[in-house]
Amino acid sequence: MPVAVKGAVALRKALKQYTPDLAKQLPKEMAVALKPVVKTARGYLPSQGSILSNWQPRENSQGRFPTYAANLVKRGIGYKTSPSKPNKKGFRSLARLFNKTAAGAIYETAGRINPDSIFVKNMNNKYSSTMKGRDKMQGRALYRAYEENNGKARDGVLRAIEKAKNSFDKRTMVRS
Amino acid sequence: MSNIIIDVAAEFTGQKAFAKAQRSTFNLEKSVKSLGKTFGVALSTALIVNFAKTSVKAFAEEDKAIRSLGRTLKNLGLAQSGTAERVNAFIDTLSKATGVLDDDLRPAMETLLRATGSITKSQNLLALALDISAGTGKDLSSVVAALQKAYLGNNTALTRLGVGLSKAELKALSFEEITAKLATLFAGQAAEAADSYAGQISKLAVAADNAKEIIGKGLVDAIGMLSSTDSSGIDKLTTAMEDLATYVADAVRGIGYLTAKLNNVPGIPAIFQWLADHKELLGLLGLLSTVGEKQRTAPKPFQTGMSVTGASDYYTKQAADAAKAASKAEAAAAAQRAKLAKAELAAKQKSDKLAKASAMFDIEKIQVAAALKGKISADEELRLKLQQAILNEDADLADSLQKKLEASQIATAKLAASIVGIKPAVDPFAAWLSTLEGIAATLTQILGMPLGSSVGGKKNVPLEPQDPIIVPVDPKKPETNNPDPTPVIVEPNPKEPPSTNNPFAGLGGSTGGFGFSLPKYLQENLPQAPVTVNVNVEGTVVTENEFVKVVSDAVITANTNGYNNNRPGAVPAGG
Repeated sequence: MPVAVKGAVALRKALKQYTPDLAKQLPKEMAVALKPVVKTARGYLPSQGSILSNWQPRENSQGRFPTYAANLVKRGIGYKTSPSKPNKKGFRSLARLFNKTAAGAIYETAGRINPDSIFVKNMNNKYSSTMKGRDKMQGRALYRAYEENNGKARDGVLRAIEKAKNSFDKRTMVRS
Repeated sequence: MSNIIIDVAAEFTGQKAFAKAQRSTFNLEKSVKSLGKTFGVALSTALIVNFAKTSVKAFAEEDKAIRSLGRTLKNLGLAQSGTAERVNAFIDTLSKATGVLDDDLRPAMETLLRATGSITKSQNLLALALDISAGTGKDLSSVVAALQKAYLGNNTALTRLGVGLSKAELKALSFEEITAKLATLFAGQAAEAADSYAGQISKLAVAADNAKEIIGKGLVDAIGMLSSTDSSGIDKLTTAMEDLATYVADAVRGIGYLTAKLNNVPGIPAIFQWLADHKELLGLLGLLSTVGEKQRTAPKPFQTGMSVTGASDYYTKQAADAAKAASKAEAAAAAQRAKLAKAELAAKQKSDKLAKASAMFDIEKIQVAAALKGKISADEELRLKLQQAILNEDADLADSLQKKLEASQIATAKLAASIVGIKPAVDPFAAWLSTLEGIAATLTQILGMPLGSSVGGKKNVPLEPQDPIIVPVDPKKPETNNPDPTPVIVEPNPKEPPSTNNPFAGLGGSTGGFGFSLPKYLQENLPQAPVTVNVNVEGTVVTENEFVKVVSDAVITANTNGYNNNRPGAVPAGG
């Protein structure tokens, strides 16, 4: 569950308008907190050589199930620090981690509903991967890395926002 | 499309529909403002006139209310010097504090005064009415009317206010109890309402109303001044005010018209623009304008409140971590305390054991314990137990035992005192001896001789009193060669009887205890006292030479018989 922050989008706008250097500094500091999770998550992905033989890239005509291309999947895991558009519930994300490729998502979540399927069994036997996390945030790569991060990334992001806010307040304070 | 996303932090900005509604509202507000601006100038004249009228009206109404209140106080007999002023001051203060118009407070106060006839009670009830009004949302006049009725004994009106009192309560409770309960239920409602935004606005309204009244008073005073000289003063004033307002409006309209016309003149807008760019040239006006602009565009502190909410709230987490650390520290301290207590208990147990063990070697205690196991009287047992308790430092037991012992001693003393009073018992055998002596005398008379035992075939030989003990002694024999026992010299003690193995000694007679006596010839041959008894120790005494000779003979005999005289393992001499 994400942490709900109030006023951060306005802060970003204000930073951009009045203190551009702080506006640049904030995403950098957020990135410092988020990068370790991305790095760890990429490390949990199987390499191309160790992928299941039937999951290797093939001609498109041969099937529609997404194939696993290690380099693409690894590149598909990343982070974003710019505020997103509001989702249908009205929330704007301030910092997010994602695993955007289909194959990466399959590797991440396969076995949540059918843990005894042959594909999942083969995958588990081959990579001895484990799923970590809770409920919808349970996975083998990104969710696992985030779970093992123990909230350090989240704390780092919040600390960065708070630091930026404090710096901004100090600079823009009107002294009589 | 995959949807593997972790939102680390997010902000609720509202749904799209909200934004749309907000935008529409904003546009509408903008339009209304614009419309207001458009109509503002046109309406300004009428507004000024209306304001003047309402101000005068407000002042007149207030004046009327004050007069009415003063009359009520007078009618109730409460109009001492300055009372009306104090009541009015109270109402003004209350009005400012609560944001309720004095136009409402004065009639309310008047109503309550008529009912209670007391200023203090009315003030208290008015304050309560304000609280109830703020709490229930009912208007003040309704609440005051209900309270007035309740004061006069009709509680039904209070049920309609919805103040949370049942009919049964209203029927059972007195007015004082009801007001006390209401005061508890609605305590601080008016103050809380006054602190709210609505309350602040009400306060502004009160201030505006007061201002209106003050202005109205000023106008009326002006009217008064005018009317003092001319009866048509008010009409003149009104006309003058309207003329002034019309004049101002015309002037504004004229500026607008002039500006519009000047804009059409070539070069004039450029002049205005140049003047706007060089405000400093406009003197004080320009300076003020520059300052104002700077103030308007100066960056302000970032006012948007930052807060973090949610299940995994950052600040909540920080607080939780702090609480966790505190509880952990507390648990550690508790564990340390428990450990110390345990160690202390163990040390105490150890010392108890040592004390117990050392008590085993405490001679005094051992003696007491041993004495207790023996056959002792109850009193002795009590004493020993007391001693044991003292040694064991058991104060309670020692105290109880001491009391028991004291009781026992008192009882013993009483017993001893009672024993002292008892007469000694008479010897029942005292008369026997004289009886026996009488019998013996009778027998002696019958026999013609004294009574005796047969010794050596003779009977009834008269006894010789005070015969010595006879021991065979041969004093002429040398001691060393005498195989007989060494004689022992026994000196007869005339005062004490000689020691003897005879168990019947002393029962009768002078020698053997049986009343026998030695024959005459023996008595003559026996040496007279002192008697010497020699006792010889059996054995042989030899000289050194004799002993050496005996040993040498024994060695020779052994050698002759072939016995080995050497120690086992020893080397024989000369061998």
